[in-house]
Amino acid sequence: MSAKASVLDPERLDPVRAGFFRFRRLGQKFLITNDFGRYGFLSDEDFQKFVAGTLDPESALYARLARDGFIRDRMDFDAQISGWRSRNSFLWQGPSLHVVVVTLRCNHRCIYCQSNAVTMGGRDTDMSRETAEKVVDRIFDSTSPALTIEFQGGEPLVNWPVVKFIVEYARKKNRKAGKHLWINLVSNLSLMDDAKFKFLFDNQVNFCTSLDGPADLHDKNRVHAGGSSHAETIRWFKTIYRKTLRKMFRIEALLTVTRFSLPRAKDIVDEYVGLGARGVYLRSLSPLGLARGVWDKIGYTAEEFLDFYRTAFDYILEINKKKTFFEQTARIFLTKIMTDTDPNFLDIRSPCGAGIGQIAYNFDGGVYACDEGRMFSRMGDEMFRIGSVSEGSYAQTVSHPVIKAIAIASCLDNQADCSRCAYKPYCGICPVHCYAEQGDIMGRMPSSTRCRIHKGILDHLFEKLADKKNERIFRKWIKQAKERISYQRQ
Amino acid sequence: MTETTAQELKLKVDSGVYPMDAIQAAAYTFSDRVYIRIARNGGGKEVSLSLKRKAGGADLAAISDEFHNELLHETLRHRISQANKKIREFIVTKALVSAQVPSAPPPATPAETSEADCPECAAEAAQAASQQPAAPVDAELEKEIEKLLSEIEKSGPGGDPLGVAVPWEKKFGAKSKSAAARPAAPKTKRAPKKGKKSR
Repeated sequence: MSAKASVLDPERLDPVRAGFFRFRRLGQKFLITNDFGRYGFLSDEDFQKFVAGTLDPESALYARLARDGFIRDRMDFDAQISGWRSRNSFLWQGPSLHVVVVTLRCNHRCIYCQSNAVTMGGRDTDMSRETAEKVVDRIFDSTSPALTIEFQGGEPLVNWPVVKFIVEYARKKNRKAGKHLWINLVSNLSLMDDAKFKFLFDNQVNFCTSLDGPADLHDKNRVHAGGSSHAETIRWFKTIYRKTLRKMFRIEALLTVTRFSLPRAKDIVDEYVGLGARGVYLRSLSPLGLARGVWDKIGYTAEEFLDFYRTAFDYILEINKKKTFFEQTARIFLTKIMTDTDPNFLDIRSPCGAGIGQIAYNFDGGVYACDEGRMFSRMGDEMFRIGSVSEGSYAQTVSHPVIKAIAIASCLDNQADCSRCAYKPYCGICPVHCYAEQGDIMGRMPSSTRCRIHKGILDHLFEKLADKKNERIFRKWIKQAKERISYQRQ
Repeated sequence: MTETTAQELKLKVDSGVYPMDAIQAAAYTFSDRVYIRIARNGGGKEVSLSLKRKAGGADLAAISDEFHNELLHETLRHRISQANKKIREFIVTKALVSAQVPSAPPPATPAETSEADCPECAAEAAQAASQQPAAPVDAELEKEIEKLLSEIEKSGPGGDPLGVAVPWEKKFGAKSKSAAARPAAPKTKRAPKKGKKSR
């Protein structure tokens, strides 16, 4: 919205030459994107010519824009239809991520706990074996040919017998179903022992833990009554990392950024690099669970987070001069920007994955459209509950009106701001986040923190993409992700 | 015409110059900073906007300048959208229909249509592109869309044309019986990665 925008003259639009595009002023240029995820940078002069249909048809720029579907009378329909299908292939799959909360008990008291976990005495929040069996049966009803069962909590290892049962029962069922089955354990690792690890390793379970940075920062965020959470996490991270080094199931760590993290961007990246991690996920805090009540102490504005993100990201680019080390949010966006593949990250796609890409199962068998929606249940709001494994059917669950409402709310074509945004082909909104922040699943993007963060990150990525050296780095990040995909097709 | 006071910015816009959709879209963009009221003056084309400062204090003079630029942005967006509406509907409809109508051949993947290994194909494609006539007129596209949509209605059960609510075993049977009839793993599928939800 700078003064330079006055180069625009809607009257000059040639509706026969210029195909559909969205635009955004970025630095000295206009960024243009289209429905097929293609993008281009145009100077003011070229932008005016493009809009008016007066670009030289013999120019390299014209050829590039024609190839990428920006020139209406040179549109290759078959290629664009194929590209659109590829980018939206998740629409044909059904729920593939199944989050199973085997207990709400936890031995940590993290200051931002978004699950509102209970203390170790709360045994009434443990999932029973009978409920677990019904959960697995319901999971295998999914139409998706690929399934991921993800253990969440609480701390899942607190209810180890049920974790073990679900792994064994799911593997048994899959011998008949023949799906691509992945199992993830999300754990603080403090209750891991050799016997549990051996069972999980033998069953090819992926591990995911939380690591909020160096010890002082991590232990400030993640309070563990039994001692240093950081020490326990690092000990098992190193063991699992070493033993799964050449496996396609592995351990990864996730960062939650609090206000205390903001001045520590480089320290956090160094911590991950020092551990041998392949990358880091600079994840902003959500206003759910405990975080909601103490937001004034641990939260921040979108602009504060973006300052942190840019500092960390630029430092990561420096590190990439020596070794490949990715940032996960960037990798998700870059995969969408630089390929025709959608990485199917359920929180950043249109429509979002709630109910049509993922389902969450609470300890009592309650079924929720997504894990964030299940978290609202802990806040006394059953808005996102879509049934129970003890009643109804799979068909009733996935046809629930709540799922339809969320799909409509998260379809960016229905969003007043998103439908016109240049970043629409790469972005996604979370109706549960909108509900938490603004009290409305439809959301209002001009005042959405998440929207500002996404726009800020995408601005930064496109600025960096203009440098060919960075583009080569980004292609390596994407290649790593693709290698994982090809394995999962086997 | 613009009037600015300490708390309020009043604008008058000609809806004959700026479409009403563009005026509303531009106003929405500022909804994080100001309260907005839009009213049409009488039966004419003049539209009045009142932008009131929210707590925190927006610079109304700056917003006035930005708003006029945003009107241009939104007017251009509106025109682009109107001009390409049918083409976009056609592409999305065809992409969706080709996935579920048994008789429709699947669209070629980028790899299958790659011209990288076939210079002759690339030359032919370039020549064809240069000779390609103007895009089909909207009326023809509309007929094509209606035809595709009627194929969808014929091909699937009402309310669930993709069969997403049909349980796996009911749809495909046991592995030993009908493995060959099952869909292959989707081309872009990966185990969905979810962040740990900060226990």
